[in-house]
Amino acid sequence: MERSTEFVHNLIQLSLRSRETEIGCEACESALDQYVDLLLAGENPEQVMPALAQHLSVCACCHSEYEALLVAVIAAAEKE
Amino acid sequence: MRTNEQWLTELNTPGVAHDAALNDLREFILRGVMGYLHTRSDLARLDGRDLAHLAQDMVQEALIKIQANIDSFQGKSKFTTWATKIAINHLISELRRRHWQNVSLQQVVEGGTTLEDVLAAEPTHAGNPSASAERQLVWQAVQSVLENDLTDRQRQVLVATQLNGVPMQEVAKMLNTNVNNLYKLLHDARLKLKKTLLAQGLEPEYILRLFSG
Repeated sequence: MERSTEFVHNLIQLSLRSRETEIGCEACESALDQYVDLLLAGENPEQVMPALAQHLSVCACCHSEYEALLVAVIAAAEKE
Repeated sequence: MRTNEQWLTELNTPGVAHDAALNDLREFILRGVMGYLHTRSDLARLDGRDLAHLAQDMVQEALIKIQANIDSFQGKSKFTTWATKIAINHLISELRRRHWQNVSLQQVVEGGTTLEDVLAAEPTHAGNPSASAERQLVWQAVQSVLENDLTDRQRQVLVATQLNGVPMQEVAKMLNTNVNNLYKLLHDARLKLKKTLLAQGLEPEYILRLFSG
């Protein structure tokens, strides 16, 4: 998809996911370990921590960090 | 496998148990960091030895941070997950810094896709005339907000982060501000766009489906 088109598509998605009140990146980062542990324990972190889930849906940087932490914890625990 | 309490007790008490705990933590985090580094396509040029050196250096630096901040661990997660988070955050920050250190905001703006490109673009056609007309409506609403309702700073940050993929942390440095401020700026821009989109009278799920193809 051409970049301008992709930009508009992403912007539409991001805006429709937005809430009047959102947590910031610092709050997200401080609780990311809990979120990952919930996921790996088979719980539903989106239900338990909805504000963090919403932040991850609109913040690419924090989402990348979440994915990185998930990959790392799974990799580390695999060979334990 | 240690409990959180065991990790904290052993890491806080100098001696043989401390050294063993630190070593086990190092090994755990190193596995995690290596697992992550293997997913980074931008590091594919590094051979196995260089990747291992990078991982070891980053983990060593992270262990210092972990020990310095150990009293801030609240026990809401596994200690190993918390510690891995610190290591991954440190690694990602360092890789990001290295990647963007010689790039200015001006270079990003001038070298990348511009807002003018976006404003000149047309939506692709949907499967039927009615959907195409609605797509056009939404597209024009987006373009109108971008052109008329955002501050110059909002446009600048949107172009850098969303259009040209510059991480927020780097844009914050380039603009001499902090991530918190930029997040608020973008949040306000998203809400302006949301308000305008919903004023078109279409359901959010429908708008998303219109542009999901």
